[in-house]
Amino acid sequence: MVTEAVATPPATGHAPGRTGFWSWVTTVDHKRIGILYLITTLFFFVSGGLMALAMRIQLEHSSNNVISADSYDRIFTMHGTTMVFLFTVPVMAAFGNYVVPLMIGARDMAFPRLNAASLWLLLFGGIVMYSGFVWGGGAADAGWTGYPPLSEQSPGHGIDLWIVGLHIVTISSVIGAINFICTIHNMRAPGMRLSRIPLFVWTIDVYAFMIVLALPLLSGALTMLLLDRNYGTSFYAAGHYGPILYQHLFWAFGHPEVYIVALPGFGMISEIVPVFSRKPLFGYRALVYATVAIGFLAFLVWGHHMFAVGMSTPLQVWFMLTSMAIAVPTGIKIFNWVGTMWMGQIRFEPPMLFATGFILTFLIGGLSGIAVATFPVDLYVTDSYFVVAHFHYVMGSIPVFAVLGGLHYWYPKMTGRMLDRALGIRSFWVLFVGFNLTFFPMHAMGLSGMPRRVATYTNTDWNVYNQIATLGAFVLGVGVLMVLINCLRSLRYGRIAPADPWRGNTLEWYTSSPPPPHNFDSLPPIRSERPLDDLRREAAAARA
Amino acid sequence: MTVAHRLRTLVAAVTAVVAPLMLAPAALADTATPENPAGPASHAIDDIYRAVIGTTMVIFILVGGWLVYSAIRFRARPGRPIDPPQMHGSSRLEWGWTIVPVLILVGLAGYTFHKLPDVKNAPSDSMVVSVLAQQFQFSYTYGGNSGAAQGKTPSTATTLVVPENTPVKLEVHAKDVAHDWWVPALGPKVDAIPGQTTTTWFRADHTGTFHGQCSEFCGVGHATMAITVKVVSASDWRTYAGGLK
Repeated sequence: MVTEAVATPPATGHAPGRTGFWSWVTTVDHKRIGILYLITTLFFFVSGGLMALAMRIQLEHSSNNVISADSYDRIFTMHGTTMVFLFTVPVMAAFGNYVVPLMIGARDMAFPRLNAASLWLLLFGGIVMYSGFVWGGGAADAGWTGYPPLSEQSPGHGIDLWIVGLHIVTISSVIGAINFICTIHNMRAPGMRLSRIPLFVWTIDVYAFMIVLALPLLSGALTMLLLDRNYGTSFYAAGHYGPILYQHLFWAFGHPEVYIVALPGFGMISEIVPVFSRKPLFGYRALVYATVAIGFLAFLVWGHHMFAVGMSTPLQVWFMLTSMAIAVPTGIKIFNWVGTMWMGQIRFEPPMLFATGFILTFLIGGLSGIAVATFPVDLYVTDSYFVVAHFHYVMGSIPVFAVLGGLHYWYPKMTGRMLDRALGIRSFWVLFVGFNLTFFPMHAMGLSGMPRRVATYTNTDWNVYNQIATLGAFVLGVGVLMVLINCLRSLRYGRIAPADPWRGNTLEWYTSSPPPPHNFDSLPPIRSERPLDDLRREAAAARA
Repeated sequence: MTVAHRLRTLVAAVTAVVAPLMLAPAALADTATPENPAGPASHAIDDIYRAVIGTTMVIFILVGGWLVYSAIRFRARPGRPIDPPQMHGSSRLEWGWTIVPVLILVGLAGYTFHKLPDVKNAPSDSMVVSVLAQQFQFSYTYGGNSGAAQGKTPSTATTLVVPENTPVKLEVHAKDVAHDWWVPALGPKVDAIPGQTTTTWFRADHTGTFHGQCSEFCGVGHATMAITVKVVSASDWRTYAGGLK
């Protein structure tokens, strides 16, 4: 039997490195870049969230006119763009940057300067996109999908700034992804075979490959849009199926994007659940295969976003079947997580609460995904609020529960301080209630005929659902605020974090919190995907 | 806590969860399903939706229940051994929860194929109506099988008048940007895309006025781009069609 608090890692020399503003601006240390990434993406998360609150105020009751239709269109466009491109995708790079080199026992990322470049390009791209709010005739207003001909006819330069900003963000993501691939495949410590790397590292690897394969499609599609808008080309002209060509290109990127976001979230859950259940992952191999299968299938399903464009029946059937197929590996993940909890000794520290909440909300999103994959049903619910509910249960539960769970999990490692446990637990419950209040009624709005992307509505039957959702959005906002306050307060007042506060399994818990600039003084032998658990067992056996 | 006591608590908890679920369908019939279908196309969609949502609700109760049960049953408590059994997986279980979902999905896909003709295929004797979508209104021109109305475009641009029990095939065009024609109670929605003709169909089984609105974001007037379909009796239709100029 193994007891707590064995195998304390050897004390690592606590050398904080250079300090001060310029040391952060010029840093190429993956940990500092990870933290800067986190601050940048959380800033965009808060601004995207404030835009969502503005939308919920406008939709609180029928025929409301707090916000004009013109402003509403810009706000929902920038809300979607912000949440997808400036928060959910790069926040995975934030954690990937901080955690991946530590998890595989590396000194840093493969290309530290390239790493710094992807951080600053992200910030720069975001500023270019947002600059539409102050000049150029208003920010983009054609939805985060930017469908032509609407996006080609939009006056001013908001859409042009949006395209150029997205190009910059895309370059940031692609070079970051190449860096992750090189790091994971070349920088692993001796003994850290691919069959032993933590699940989070696997998911970041697949995430990176998917970014390299999918994002160029977006760049191509947007470049043609930019040329059509400004230089008289006619790639997307009506009459040559141009508008449909854009939709195909966009979604051939856009659906892989969903899993680019989802997989690292799954990876975080796969790290948290075994640690707090005190058990190994149930079916490590199955989870790895499921990750790769999802990454592959994600490229075959894009047409389910386009069932209503007049697609032929055989094509609709194909996209329905591939979309249903992706439910199978996703189900495997959920079953294996619960299998990991089964018979465990589960400690409901904040990270584990977030992980459990994630599994439950993601289950709802996955199951409503089967409804939208069934194309006759989709011909009813597509472009309605039902779909808004569905993708927030999928794409929204990842940042709110998986990413914030990961934040509670790794915050002690990043800062050397523990978050306030009681506040963490309370903020989970506020977020959980707020999330479901906001997004669950949206299923009912869609089923009763409310289309998405409407700046207002006249049907008073929809009032009650919208009022619940607006209330929920404010509860959700309070939850996010509680998390942020906890993060800021704990920097100064938090309990000092030991190297391994959770009884972790992976190498990042072997070094001090926060780790020294060179990460490790020494590494333990790596004989499984849980090297620290092996150490504890050896120590217990030696004492027995 | 004795075993019997525990069992009683469990039964009470299960009842508390299951009872509302049994009563819920009646109360939620309207909020949890599509709008009252008024014809074969929307009926078929409603049937498929109910099959899918019924199946997924059962899965949700089973899997969600398993999760919540595990979370409560296996939470760490004082006096329990610190080190639980270290299971690394079970091939039999894992194959099981791979194959069973596949079978369920095959079943749902099969049922969808069975219902598909009603959703997709407009009968060949359908009345044809050409729909023109533009920022920010829909207008209609009657085509084949529309009797005296053929070739006419009503001046009341936003209202489409059709007879009951008559299949109507819509041929949808767009003038400026993409739009989408959707009347929830009647049938599947369809995008209107510049340079293309897309089609959908419906048949209303009773008279009445049905509302819908544009469902593809099309600019500042998107939210106010309303659709009204007025379904009238055969005799009222003849009067209406005869009066069109």
